[in-house]
Amino acid sequence: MKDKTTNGVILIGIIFIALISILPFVFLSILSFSQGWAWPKILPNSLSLGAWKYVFAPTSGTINAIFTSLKVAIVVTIINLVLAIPAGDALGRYKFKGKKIIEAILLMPIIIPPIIIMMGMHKTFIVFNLTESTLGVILCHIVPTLPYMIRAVTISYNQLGFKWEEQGKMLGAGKIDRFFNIVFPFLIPGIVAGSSLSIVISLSQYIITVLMGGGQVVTLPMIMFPFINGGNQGIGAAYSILFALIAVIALIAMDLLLKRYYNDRKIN
Amino acid sequence: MLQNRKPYLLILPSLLATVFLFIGGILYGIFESIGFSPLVGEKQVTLKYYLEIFNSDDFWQAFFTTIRIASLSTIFSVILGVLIIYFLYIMKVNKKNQSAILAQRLFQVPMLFPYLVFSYIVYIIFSSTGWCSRILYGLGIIDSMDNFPIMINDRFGWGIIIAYVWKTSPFVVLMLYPVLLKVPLSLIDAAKVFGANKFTAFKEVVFPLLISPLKLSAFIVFSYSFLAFEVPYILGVTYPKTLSVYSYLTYTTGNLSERPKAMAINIASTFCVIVIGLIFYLLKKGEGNEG
Repeated sequence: MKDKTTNGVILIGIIFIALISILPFVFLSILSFSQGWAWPKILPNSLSLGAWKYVFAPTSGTINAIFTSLKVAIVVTIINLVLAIPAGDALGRYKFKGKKIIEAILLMPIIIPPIIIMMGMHKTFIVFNLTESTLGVILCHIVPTLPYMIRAVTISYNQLGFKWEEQGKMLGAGKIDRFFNIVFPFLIPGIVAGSSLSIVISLSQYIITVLMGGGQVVTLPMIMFPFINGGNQGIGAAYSILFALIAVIALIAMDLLLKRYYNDRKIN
Repeated sequence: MLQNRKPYLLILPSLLATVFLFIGGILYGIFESIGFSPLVGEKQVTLKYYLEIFNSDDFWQAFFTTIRIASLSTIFSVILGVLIIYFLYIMKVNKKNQSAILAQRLFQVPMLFPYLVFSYIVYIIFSSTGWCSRILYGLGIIDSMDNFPIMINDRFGWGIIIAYVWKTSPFVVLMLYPVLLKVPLSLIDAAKVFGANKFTAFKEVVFPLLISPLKLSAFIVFSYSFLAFEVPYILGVTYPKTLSVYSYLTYTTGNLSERPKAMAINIASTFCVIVIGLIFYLLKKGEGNEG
């Protein structure tokens, strides 16, 4: 009897989780292929490729927007790595005066949305001619992404400590050798986690790209927006799915790339 | 000597980037909000923009709307998060580890998608012509779309709250899950030996360990939903607006003389988040002293 109730609880829980995480995407997919789906029909009258055809038509600018989005996300992630790897080392392995305050400053952008900050920076960006440029948008995207990268790399450094590097030193490995053969492989999980967040968060930015890009730097969320905000529902759904797919593909690609790099180094 | 300086040198690039882009944004915002803008030759410091917003009904409407939405989102998100953790715990004590991992992963799926997409999903499911209303009609519960409760672009902000809870509860679970991994099953078995059932064991053994990460995640969810922009921009109403939408629209659609007012709104709301953060920090510190 008792086991039965437990199994019941587990079953209800799984159904609930599936409902809230899978159902929206099933619904988006149906919507993106639907045609003539008036209230109160629960399923569409007929299916059509119209929305997808629009999304991939050369006039829609989707492909360019995808490339712009990916370009920005990748450059932002590389800059974040360059900044966060030394910072993570300091925060994860050293004790120093003012560490708590510095860490708080570095992580603060997590709780204050970037649009609030970027409205303040807008004038400065205009003065330095950074608005309406990809560079300006890249700088913008660093604000909400860098703290996550720092956090992820810090945890990895914290687990690494100094002992392995000291062993390498005793065996005669130089500084650069030690970094690439001892430290870097150890950081891979943190780098993967931090880069995933960095890419996903950068891809998701809408309003700061609009503000700083001034309509000249067109990313995927910007192309999507008019359809999501009261436009053609099928096209909005198709863009939503496309966005999700690109995020997932970018994450898988990065994961594979880093793991392959790691394996290559192991063989050497 | 060099060893002492090393961590500072390592942290310098990140710190400079954060100071220039983030702290700089706040400082410029403060300067602009008090009318001090040497770049365009304005050096007269004034508090009139703050007085203006504190004397306007629009600001206070936006303020209370935002507080209500952020608090309700946080409460629901935390409750849902703990429920999911309880459910994963039940799976774990029943030795269904594989399904627990699967369920946990599944629940993280919404984190992959931007707030923009999530607002849209909430819109197409909960609007008066959305899927929910169709299903209720199909079941004969409502007989026209007007009978469906207005949840999207409503004055209360239910649509916004749904989107935030949906999107942030996976984050809460992510923050709490490590606790479940740390609690040894033997401890729960021991609790059972002393006559505790699964629920009591959860309440007495697991829940106390959840409190600290729960507070932290509640704070992050609250501060994020307090000032984030995209969700209320899509799912909100023209009046009352949330603070972020109110300030952005003041900034972009008003004339240039309105911009310092937008900055004043931003700085006032950032100040709120920081005060709440400090309260949270002091609470945590007090806790540490007791233990």
